[in-house]
Amino acid sequence: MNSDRSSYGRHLDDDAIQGLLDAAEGRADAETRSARRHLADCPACQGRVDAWREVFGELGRLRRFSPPGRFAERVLSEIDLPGEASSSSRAWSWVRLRRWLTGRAADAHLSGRRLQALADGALPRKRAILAKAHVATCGDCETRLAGWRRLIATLEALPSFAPAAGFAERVMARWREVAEEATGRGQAAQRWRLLPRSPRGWVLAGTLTSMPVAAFAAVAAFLSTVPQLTTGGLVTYLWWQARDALSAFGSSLLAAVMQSGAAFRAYSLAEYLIASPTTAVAAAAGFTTLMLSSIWVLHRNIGFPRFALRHVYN
Amino acid sequence: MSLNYQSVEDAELVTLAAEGRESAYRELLSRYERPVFSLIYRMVRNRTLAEDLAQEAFIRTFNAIDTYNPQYKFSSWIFKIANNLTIDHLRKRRVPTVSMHGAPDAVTAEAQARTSLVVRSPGESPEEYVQNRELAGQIEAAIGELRDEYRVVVLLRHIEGHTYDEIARIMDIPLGTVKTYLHRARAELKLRLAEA
Ligand SMILES: [Zn+2]
Ligand SMILES: [Zn+2]
Repeated sequence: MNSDRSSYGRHLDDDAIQGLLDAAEGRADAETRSARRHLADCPACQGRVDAWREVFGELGRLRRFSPPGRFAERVLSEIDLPGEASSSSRAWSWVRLRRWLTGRAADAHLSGRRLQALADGALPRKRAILAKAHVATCGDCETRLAGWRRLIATLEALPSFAPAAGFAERVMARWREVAEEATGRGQAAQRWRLLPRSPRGWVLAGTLTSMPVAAFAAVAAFLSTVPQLTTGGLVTYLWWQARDALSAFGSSLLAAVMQSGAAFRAYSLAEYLIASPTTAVAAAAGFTTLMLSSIWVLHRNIGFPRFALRHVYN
Repeated sequence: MSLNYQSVEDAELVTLAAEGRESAYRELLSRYERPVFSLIYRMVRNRTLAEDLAQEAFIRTFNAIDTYNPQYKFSSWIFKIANNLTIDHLRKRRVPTVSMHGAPDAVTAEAQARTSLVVRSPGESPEEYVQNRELAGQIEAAIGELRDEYRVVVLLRHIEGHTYDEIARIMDIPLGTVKTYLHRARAELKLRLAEA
């Protein structure tokens, strides 16, 4: 391979291939998925993956052979495999294979990142085995790994701090306060909120608001089918009816409250309203709004209060 | 009623708490007051402030107890709340931390010791200054100099013992970013400790 690119994109490096083989056991991340896409189309990388698979296979078989000398012992003690039998030729074969695969010395030093992950127990099993095998043969990496292990041990030995005495009591007391405030706020919001807060509320409110409109439309539709009735005649008729009703209302009000100054002024206001159609229409609109609002408020108060925060003492 | 909750799992305690049992809340508090306070204290490096933030973290957790998703560990959840609060606070108000380990430009150990006695964060009382000496050790000072994100990952990993996946969830960042932060944070710590 002269170029590190093929027509299918970048060739996989050793890390990517090892990641791919590790990922076969676990879930695939984005990197692994793109590596798999490349692999599907690239015979060169397929060959290298097969070779790596063989390396891992050798690693798996390693436990069957007994350690002949110091090297294999150290590898095995680092690797933590239940050692039975090993042969020197087998133990060395994957190291040679790795050298052939990577084109660099089998003991190319481990990156700081990999050493840290190894020290933190965060390397996947197969990569950890390879890394430990290198560390076992390389004093440099062994020293560096020991440095990371010391740092991690120092961090893990740091004490935890306790808050000042009575912290838990203060939290519980404050929490009760907060819960009570929230409940108070909730009830206030419940009382004064006029707008619906749920889709269900909006549907109901919408239905209520549209009812008078629908009724008016129905009456208008009915009237348009009766030729004897003209719109002008109807308006005049309704106008007189309304005036009679308002007059009657004014009279009874007067009778009820006797002839106090306030009652007289109210009566004058009613008279004035009847005399001026524009004001009367405005008053009717105001009255309708008031009605609808009260229906609305009523609806809002029927539901259970949602704000009530639980705080039970036991 | 004094039930012994010590053998009860976190998830079960949460269920009991959501039913309104105050003793379950108390048990959660006693389990997490130290770890949550320690994390926040090492982040803001001020006891009073750390207690306020820790209290707020517990109150938010308790108020939202019926939204807890038992699919995740309770510890991840409470640390997520505590971490969000702390990071928000640190972003809003940059707390000078120079007092704990001397002026950054103090090159010799002597100069560092001298400046660390003199320079104090504005508004820090003598008591607080004494309290802050808990964090005056070499490694604590090095942790204190890490940027916020690096400090959180190191504390969550090596002091609280969370897994990489849990840290990703607590901090709302991808797993790869957790690994990168951890790697850089430890490299910085090692460098600072070698310099000291
Ligand atoms: Zn390729
Ligand atoms: Zn090496």
